[in-house]
Amino acid sequence: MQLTIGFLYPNLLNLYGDYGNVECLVRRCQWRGIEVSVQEISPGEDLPWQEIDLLLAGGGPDLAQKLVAEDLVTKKTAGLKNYLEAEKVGLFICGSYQLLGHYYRPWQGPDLPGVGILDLYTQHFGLTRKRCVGNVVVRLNPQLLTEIKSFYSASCLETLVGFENHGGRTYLGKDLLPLGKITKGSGNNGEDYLEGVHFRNFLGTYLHGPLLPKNPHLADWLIGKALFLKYSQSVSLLPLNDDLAWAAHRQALALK
Amino acid sequence: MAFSLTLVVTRFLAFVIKTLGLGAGSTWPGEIGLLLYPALLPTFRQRFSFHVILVAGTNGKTTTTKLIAQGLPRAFLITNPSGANIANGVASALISHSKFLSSGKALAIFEVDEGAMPTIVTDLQPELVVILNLFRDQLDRYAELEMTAHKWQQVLDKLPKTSTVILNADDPLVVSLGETCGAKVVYFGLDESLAPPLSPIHSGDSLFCRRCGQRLTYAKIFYAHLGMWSCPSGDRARPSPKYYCVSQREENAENCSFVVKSPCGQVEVDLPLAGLYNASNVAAAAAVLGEFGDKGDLFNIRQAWEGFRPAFGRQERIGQAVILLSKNPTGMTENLKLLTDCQKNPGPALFVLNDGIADGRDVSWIYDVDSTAITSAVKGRAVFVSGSRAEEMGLRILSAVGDLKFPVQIRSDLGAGLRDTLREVKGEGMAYIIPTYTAMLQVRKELCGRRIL
Repeated sequence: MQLTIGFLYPNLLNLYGDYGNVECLVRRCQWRGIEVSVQEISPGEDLPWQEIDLLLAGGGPDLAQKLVAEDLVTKKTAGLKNYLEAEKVGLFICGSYQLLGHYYRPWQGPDLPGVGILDLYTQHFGLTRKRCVGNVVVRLNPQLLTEIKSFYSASCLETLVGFENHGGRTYLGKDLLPLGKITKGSGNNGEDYLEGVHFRNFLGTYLHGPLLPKNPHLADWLIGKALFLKYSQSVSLLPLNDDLAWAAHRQALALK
Repeated sequence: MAFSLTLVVTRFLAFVIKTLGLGAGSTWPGEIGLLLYPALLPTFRQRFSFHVILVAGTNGKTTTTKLIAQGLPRAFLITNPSGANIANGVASALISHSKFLSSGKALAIFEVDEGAMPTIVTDLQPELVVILNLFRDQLDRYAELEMTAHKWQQVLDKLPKTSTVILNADDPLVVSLGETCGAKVVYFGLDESLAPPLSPIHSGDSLFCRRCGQRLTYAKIFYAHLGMWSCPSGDRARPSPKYYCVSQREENAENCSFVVKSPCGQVEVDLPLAGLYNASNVAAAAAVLGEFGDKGDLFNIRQAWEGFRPAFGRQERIGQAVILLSKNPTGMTENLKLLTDCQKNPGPALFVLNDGIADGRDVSWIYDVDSTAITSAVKGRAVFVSGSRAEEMGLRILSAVGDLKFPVQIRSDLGAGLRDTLREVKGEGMAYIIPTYTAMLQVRKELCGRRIL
């Protein structure tokens, strides 16, 4: 079996160790003898939508965010919409997660349009509200958890752990499911205890950078689901020794 | 409270702290002083006549400050060698040396923290500021690199014409800081012959032209995003440095010999400093001596730097351990290259990852460390991990190496970790300790009983 990972804007959206997620997926495929390749896509380049089985994008600083938004909104909206509608697998983090929605409303100045594929928006309240920075624990939404358990054969925890650092606050439309509920940290907006978004097989989250290494169940769901969709057959992933990953996960659960 | 009374109170406080052995007095006197008299720093500047040199940048501040201080052997030298580099540290140093200030001939050389730099520059109006580099570091505290650069540029712009700003020509973001500056701008850097064979940029932080947004092109890369850069649109390019290091050669296990070129000839020095990043620090220090000192200072550096010891935790040797402080992706990547260079004698390695406030609560940055550098450094060695986020570090190593069976030994107790690591040292070999900032202080405490100096 073979997987192609698409990594969007690696030179622009790589603020917090985002490459760690790509490396994690690549390793977990290699350790199981699944052939894997990574296609990096920069602004201006065409995205070979048909070839991509798993799409990743990270977060970036303001300047990079503008360049990315321009490219994504003007050149890739239709492709991305089809990709999501076709139930293909993706993980967008922080800045790229925000771009999936209708708009980003900065503290001052006009709204910056997103691709508008998902019914969500993001607003920055300037200095009136504190930036959301810190360790995060998310209790996975039950539907996603069931999905995850169907690919992750070993026993797993029902949480995601990570770190968030964002000024914008994201609000989901009423029909959208979150990734899960916050038990520590701010999540989408610090108000409704929701974190991220789960739409078909696409995820958005504020848990930045190297999210997957210490959340191996989520990593395997991405891999398993992508293989399942590509080969239209049931997939059973070889269990790996994730002792250290779960030890890091447990350590993160206990953080302040 | 009046300025002079504040001085009396805080000097007494410093005396008490030191006499009772409560600490080094390198932060509290300043902290209290600033509380009692908020305009303490600018008032020091107005009341006394003294010179100020500030050293800023993400990596290399402590080492470069030490090089400059040792290279300018003045009678009334004030510095912050313990790395207390925010306003309270600078204020503490001035308070405890206020007798020097009365001489009218004092020279203050301070390293300044990224976040504190704008305020300290504004308050002290330095004769000279040297900016070493800008890398991503503790983004949970200082937000994004661009924001730091923006704030720095604003204060540099306000410096008088009589000041000198010394910038790293190899760092495009640092160079852009001088583009609107009214002060005299001088560049230092590395000679292109020092660049390793071209490798793709991994942890490049400033890869885009700050003016036009185009991706910069590099003829040579020294490390990270430092190199012979230019913007393809032609509007910016690396300026020629006035002071630059042309060679760095390993003399023996401890010393490197450096050759630095300057407008008034070249100087050769031996220092116990390895790694290309130190060639950059040496060039920066030479530039400060050349621009600020008398003519003699630059030519006397060979003598002045004789017997130079690395700053605490920065390639510092304690017994059979060498401590390689690694607090951000670039720092760790470059330090791991040093381990790879010592593969002839692969001593054990101990990584100590903490997530204290001073380390940055966010440990995501370890994934920005170059995977190839990790792999080449750890292969063939005994590898231990410790610190408050030991498991994270272990996981990072496994991911880089790509082998779930690679033996990473976790020691939740640092003392045990150090003992077990040192036990693996064979003969005259060395153990390599790679700690974050607070971890480095703990390692020193374990190894020599003192956290700082």
